[in-house]
Amino acid sequence: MEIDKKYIHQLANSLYFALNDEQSSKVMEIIIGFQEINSIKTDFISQITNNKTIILRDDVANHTNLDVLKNTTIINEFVVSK
Amino acid sequence: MKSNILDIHNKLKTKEISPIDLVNNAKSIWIKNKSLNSIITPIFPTNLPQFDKDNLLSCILYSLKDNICTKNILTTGGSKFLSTYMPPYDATCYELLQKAKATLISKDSLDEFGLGGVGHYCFTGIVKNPCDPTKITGGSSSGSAVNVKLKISTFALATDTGDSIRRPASLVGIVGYKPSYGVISRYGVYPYAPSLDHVGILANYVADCCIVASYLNKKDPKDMTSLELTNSINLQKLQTKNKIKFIVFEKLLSLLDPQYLNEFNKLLNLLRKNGHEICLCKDPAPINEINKIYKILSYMEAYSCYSCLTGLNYGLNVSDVKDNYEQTILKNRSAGFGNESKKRFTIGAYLTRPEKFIDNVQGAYAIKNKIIAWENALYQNNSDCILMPTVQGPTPSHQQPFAKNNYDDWLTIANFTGSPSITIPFTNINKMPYGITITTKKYNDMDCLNYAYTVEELLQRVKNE
Repeated sequence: MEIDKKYIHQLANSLYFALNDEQSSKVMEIIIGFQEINSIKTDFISQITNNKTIILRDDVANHTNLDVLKNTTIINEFVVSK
Repeated sequence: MKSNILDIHNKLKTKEISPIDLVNNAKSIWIKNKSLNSIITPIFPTNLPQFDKDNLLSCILYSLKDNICTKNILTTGGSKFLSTYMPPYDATCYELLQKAKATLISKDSLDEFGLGGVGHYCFTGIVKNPCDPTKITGGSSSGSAVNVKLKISTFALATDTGDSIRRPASLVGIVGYKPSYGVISRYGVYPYAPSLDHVGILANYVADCCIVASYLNKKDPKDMTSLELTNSINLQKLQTKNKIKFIVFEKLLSLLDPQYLNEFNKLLNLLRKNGHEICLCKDPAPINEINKIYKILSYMEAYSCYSCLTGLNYGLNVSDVKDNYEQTILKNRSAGFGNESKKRFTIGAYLTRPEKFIDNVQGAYAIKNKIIAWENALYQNNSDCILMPTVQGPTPSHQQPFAKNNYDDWLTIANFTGSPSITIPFTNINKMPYGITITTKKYNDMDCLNYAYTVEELLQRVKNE
């Protein structure tokens, strides 16, 4: 469905309150940000369900900003259960 | 052990102070700081119960976020819509504190119905940070955080749906504890998003949170999600731990403001020097999108929860006698709700349109479940808890309250998983406090408190050296 300001105002009206123009613009802006939600869902779920591992890094010595972590414990890889 | 509750209890016991002294002192601090706008309904009672030396909470002053129902005392939810509403019943958590003979001194400012994160959306105005009134307090439990910081109240009960206890706790420099889901009954607490809502505690020390939680963790037949923890919360069990395995997220460190990263690195060094272990974790990228999932779930639930407010039976009614049914509700809701709530309700309604329900709502729930599985997996290598800075950089000003803060999203993970999560003060940068957050596995609340207590004691020891 095409989203426009008129639609947002109608939607607010169906909830029994009025929005001003500034509010409806803000609502539009946020809703447009949600359009990508389906791709997020797909990526995330495929990553988890394909048993992709989440690794606690062991190459921290390369992080110049994080020198405190040079001696960080190396943790084995593990798999997120399905 | 640092504890304001224990200190005050001992002073009451030795009659160094009296219960009425406590109330008068709190009232005078509030009067001096009225401009911070932390209280909606001041109570400061003069008719006080007798001090009971066998009860740690007896005569201890506390305040409630104003979305917790108190019979015959205004409970506005921070909304103009309910600005004159007196509930006919008490919330269970309030009942338990009354039973413990603690003294309620105020109902505190909050972002309307808890829908906000900066402290700007209460119908009584902006809540200001006591450390610097030009900065935000964070929200939505803004007023409660200010009252605890100023010691107007010794502790406060508040709610946390995304980070509403922990973020303001960090921004004013106090402890904010969000227990596991169900540990404190939500009966009589205005909802924001029931699947994510938690009742929690703001106090100055971890021990104080532990004491209060030990009184509140009861199975409540009026809240079917409530439960009594198997490993109960008890002050006797509060102790420092010798070797804690902390998980630290690499991604979060790379986002930190350099000055803050430096301080956080010093903390990691200190922990390691004291025998604790730091495990660095590379997180999966989609976690960055957690904010969107939070918005979908919380806005959708919020819009559903507040559809019942019409102004016909109770609440604001600004209608004219000539108005029909629909015009009456339209006028009442338009006048009663603030802009932020209207925005969130509209988005919630948009996301739950029947044709998109499966994509948006079920999709978001699916991701939420995967995040829970992901978090559980983090502990499979015997790590004890997640340690993270609570905020990303300097506290925003009132003029620019929405400075980018990806950390909010990370705090929300504990609301998705229902895990216990606690923020404690860690350092000051440019005279503003800065907190760290510790999160553990669901229902391991006593461990969470012990880990936080260990770090608190360590920081205290270093400060004293």
